[in-house]
Amino acid sequence: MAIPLKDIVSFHQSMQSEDLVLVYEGEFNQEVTKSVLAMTERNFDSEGLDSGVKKKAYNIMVEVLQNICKHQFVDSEIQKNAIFLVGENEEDVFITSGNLIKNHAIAALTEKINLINSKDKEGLKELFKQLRLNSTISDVGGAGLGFVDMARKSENKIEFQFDEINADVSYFILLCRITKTTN
Amino acid sequence: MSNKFFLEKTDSNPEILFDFENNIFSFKGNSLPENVFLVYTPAFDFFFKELQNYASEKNILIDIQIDFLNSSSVKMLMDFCKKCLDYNNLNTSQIICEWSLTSKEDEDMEDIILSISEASGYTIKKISKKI
Repeated sequence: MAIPLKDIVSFHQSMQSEDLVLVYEGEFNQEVTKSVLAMTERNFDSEGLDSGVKKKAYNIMVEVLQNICKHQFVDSEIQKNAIFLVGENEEDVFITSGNLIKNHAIAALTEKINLINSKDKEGLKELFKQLRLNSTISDVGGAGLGFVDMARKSENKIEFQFDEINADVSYFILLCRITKTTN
Repeated sequence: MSNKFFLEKTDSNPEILFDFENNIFSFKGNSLPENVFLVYTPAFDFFFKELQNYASEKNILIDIQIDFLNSSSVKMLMDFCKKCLDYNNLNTSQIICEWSLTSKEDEDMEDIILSISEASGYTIKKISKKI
């Protein structure tokens, strides 16, 4: 069902009030990743975003989008797609994603992100080094380093939550902030 | 059999050239493939296999011009560097990796190069190029 025309204005106002630059909902693949990256980069360029912040944001977007590509799955009963949002206000650039996750994977993921969030800059550097040494490339071509890289680049804690949908599946929401004043 | 490996540059992967006949070895472009294994494994397998047939006292200079890497690509290059170190420890000819820093804000890239070197034990030579 298409959005009623009269609601377009309020939808646009919502995007503006929430400082959203880009919202994508649907299937994610490498082609979508490239398109989303290109659109966001153009948007950042037109707004004159600092090149260092832009590079960090680009890096985080790659990791977030590829995480979704690698781990997304479709549940015909739930019919809830993955979503990716980029926003920008005076203080921050923020990158948010949402995707389905099996409930049995939540504990390990929570432990992983909590460990990352417990580290300072030097601790993250050391953790990244250890993980690189010990990780292997998975069947889907990932090395399990994405979240650490996100934390290192954002220089802020990773914000996350799980919204339970049913006994098997939840919706995983992730938020990374890049503070514009950080050098 | 050809002793040259060439992978064309795309939006997701760098150009990779391993040309043993002309002694030209390079990576050029950005590296953000969804599946790093599919991109790099054929290239690295070729490189280390061909090295066994490479009867030369000359060093092998690998020119790296990569401005952006995703985290999985960093892991692949780290594994590559570990193998280069193993080769160097057993042979007179040496594999030398030179990484050209071409973008204006290379602090992140310098950090990546340093961390690859630290983690692999293999020293990558950094080359600064003026823009």
